[in-house]
Amino acid sequence: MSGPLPLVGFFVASVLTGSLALVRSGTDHADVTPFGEATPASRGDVPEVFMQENNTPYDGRFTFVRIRFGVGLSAGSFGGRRGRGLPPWAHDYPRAERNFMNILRETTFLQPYMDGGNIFTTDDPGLTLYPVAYISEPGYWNPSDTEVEGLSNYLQKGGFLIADDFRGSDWLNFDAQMKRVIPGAEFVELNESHAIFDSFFRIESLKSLASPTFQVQPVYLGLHQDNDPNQRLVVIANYNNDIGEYWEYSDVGWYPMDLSNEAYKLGVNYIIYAMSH
Amino acid sequence: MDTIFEFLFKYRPILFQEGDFTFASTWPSLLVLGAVAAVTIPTLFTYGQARGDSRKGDRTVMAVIRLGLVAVLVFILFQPTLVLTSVVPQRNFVGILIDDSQSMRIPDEGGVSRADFIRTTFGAEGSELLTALSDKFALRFFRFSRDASRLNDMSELSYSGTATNLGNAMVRAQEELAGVPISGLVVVSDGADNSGEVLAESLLPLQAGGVPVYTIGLGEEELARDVQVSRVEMPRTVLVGTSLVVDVIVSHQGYSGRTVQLLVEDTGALLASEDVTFEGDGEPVVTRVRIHAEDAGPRVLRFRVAPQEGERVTENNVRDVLVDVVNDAEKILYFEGEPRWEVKFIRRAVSDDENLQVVVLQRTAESKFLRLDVDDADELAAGFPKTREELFRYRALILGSVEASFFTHDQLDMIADFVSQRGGGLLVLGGRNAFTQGGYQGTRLAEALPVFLDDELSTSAEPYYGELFVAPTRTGLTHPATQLGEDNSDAVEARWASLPPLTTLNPITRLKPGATGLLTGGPEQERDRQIVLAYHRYGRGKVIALPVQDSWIWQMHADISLEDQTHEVFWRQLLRWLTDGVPSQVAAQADRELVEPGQPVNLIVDVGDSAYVEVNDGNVVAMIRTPSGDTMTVPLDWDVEQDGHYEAGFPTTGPGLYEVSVNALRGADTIGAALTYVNVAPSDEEYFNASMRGATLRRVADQTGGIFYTPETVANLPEDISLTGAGVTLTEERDLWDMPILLILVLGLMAAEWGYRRKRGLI
Repeated sequence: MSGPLPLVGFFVASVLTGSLALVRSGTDHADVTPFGEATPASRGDVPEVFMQENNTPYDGRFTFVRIRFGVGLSAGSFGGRRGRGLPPWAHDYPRAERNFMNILRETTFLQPYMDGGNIFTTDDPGLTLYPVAYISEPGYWNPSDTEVEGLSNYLQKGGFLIADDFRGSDWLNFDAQMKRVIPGAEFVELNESHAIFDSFFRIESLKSLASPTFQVQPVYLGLHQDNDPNQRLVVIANYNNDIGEYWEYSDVGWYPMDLSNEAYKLGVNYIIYAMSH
Repeated sequence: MDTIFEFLFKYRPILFQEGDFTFASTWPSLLVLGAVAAVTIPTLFTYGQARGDSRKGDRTVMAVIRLGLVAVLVFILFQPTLVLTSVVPQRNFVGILIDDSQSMRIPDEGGVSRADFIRTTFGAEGSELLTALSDKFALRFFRFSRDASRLNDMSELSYSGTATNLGNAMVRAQEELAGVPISGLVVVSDGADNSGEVLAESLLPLQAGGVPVYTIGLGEEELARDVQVSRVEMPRTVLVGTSLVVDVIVSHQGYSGRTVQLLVEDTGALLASEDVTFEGDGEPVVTRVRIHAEDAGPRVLRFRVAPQEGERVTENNVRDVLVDVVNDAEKILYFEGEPRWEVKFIRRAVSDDENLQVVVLQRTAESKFLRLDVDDADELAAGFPKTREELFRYRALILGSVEASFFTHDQLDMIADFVSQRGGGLLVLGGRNAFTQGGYQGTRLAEALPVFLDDELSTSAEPYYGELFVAPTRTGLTHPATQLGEDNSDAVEARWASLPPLTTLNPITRLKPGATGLLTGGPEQERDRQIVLAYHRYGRGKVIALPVQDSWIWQMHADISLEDQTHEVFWRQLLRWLTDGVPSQVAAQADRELVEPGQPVNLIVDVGDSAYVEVNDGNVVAMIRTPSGDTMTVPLDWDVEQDGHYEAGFPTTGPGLYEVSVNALRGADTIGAALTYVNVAPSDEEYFNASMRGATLRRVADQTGGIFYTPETVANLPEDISLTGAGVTLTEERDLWDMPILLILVLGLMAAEWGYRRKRGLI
């Protein structure tokens, strides 16, 4: 399905968006730590308490949506610590979505909302107008009953969830919470033959993208509707991976360009798949 | 009125119409003038000279009265005469055509059937009418229903004909009597012609031959109390699982205000029922019945209303309709010009519908297409179809948000031809590159659309964005595509009112002439601001406009419950309607919906190639399977007058469903196949619209120079034929001087003068 042309364009676009991001974030690059984490000052442009209130109203355009959630008991560990400036659900916000939207616009005919994205809890009625949502650090996800019900309805009606930035024992929490959302939910490991890896770019190998921060091999797990592999994917989990991290720093050179490209390709494929399946 | 006329003028009006007026007196004109003057001048002089108590006015009045009296007497003296042309007795023939159809058994007022009149008038010895006719003419009798034949004895009438063909009967009788002098034809019938033929054409040879037709109308022009299932508007073929809204027209006489139940049955099982409330007398009620076509195969659905108290004809309370419920998968191409949610949610809505196959071609980037649900690797491999053969294999096309400049000129023409020539369905969705925003103005696609693209808002340089609370139009309340599973109009309206708003980038407000709006939308308090769903016929197919960008909101919105099926139902119905009636390369049907046992069936097959260009050199063969399991093969011949049109007849024997499989070949290549059914069953058609058609019978008489009669006026028939009929004739003179009106005038004028004198005291 993919050809060489999109990759060339994609490379150019990456460079282009990187430079744009540098210009837009001003001194941001000076605040980036060697671990790829931004300091609070660099993210302080959107105070947490206002994040949801600043949502752009629905106007029919594709808008990136990030799920906000309360953290569980283990939130004091790496992923959940407030020392990174923001709670785990907001990791990589808003630069990841801004960069990703640039890539989406440049590589596809999608005309998304370009200034970051919207933030919703899963029990927010507004979420239903955005059928793709992204959840970061779901290892710390501890949804309330109403949030569980909201996400359950969202997914069963046709919503699609991208779970990212979790690893190790985080899976146990994510899997347990997803079983609250969809009782009996069984994630299966996906391989390169799945349609989601051929919806826009042809992903030849899932092993070509390593985790940005840990020495672990990413695994892509999918939850199909009715647990039937012949039906559409409802959730895709980038377990042991953090493509949002790649998106966020694609413009500052922390990660090799080809790895950032791979992370973008996954993101583009997820969106195109979700919009057609 | 005629009786009074005849009393005053001695003869019936028709004699004055037909005859020439003259004076029989042979006195020379000068003598006449002299005589008139001799009477008039002294009269005027006498009144002018008279004096006494009279004034000038009195003398004038009396002079006028006296002159009037003189004029009447002079008129009488000149022997007024009517010169008539009448037929020579026993030298001319009259054909009497007697209706032998079932409707003659219908009992009319007083319980006397129409056939009773025939028995007593034409079948009984000593009938006055028959005797009078026999005295003047040589009579030849014919019976007719669907066909006409000579009648040698009245006992041959069985009143069992299941159709009436009036025109054919008259032509046949004229042919039989060719070569002998015909005075006229007498048609004894209720006039309920149901042959479907144009009566005026049958009258032409009669008019040309100068043969007047005298019609005797039997029965009441309006049945006093009757309920009739007049018509059922239903497609002949539907997809299995389709929810149909069937229009049933129920008529009545004499049951105003009554509510009856219309039942729909499939081999005895009740499918639906609907209450029908009758309004004014004779006003037909259009009732919409919702039916779900669940079981595949040919079904004979029965629509009936139970007999009502006081109804004399109950056979017309039932109507059987054949519908072929097919289990095909209708293949639809959905071409979307950009990634967007409609693709996902339309696919989801119809994913469980085995009868709809939506093939998606989605342009995700420049020259990059995503294909979904294609049959094989080659399908749409080169993007949007570039040839008619490639596009016309689909039965419907959905165009999403894709700019006009994407297509070549030929492709835009091809899309328009897809509808107008191939008969496919086209659904155009809204979006940032659709309608005016997609630059379609001036293209052939714009011509095919049911809406105008030149709205002020649409053509504005500023992008438009509007929220649409949707409401059904009056038509939309009952249209099959917009029912949302509700069972009456109020519920449909309430359901639409409760749906969350959609949005649009295409402010379309004007329908083209002939287009129909089904849904409108706008701000909550102004839901008719713009068009949301509209359609029209374009050539052989139909085009539907749905200028919204996010119908998926009816699936995802927080106000829509998880169990809600609104979005699924809307899209399934919309796409089923989009493909409804789309022709195939080979299309077969019988020329009539209902055929009687023993009647031949005329099979009509239309054949087109893969680009739907008519094929005239095809080898078209039908295989007929009768209800008893026998088979016969019938080759069809090309009708040289119509491209791609093949016809053949085949006989029927017993009642039941006849399965007709048609195969069309061109050389050794198969063009296509078609399957259809013919319902062969005894017909009750004679009982429908069974009142006497006075207008038809009057028209037949008027246009041929004959006269219309009822049983009450038919006694004049023999004399009328002899005066107005054709054939061998002679001239006859009849005196008018002894008309009672003249005596009345004389006495009246004398009494008037006397009365005037009395009043004025001049006696």
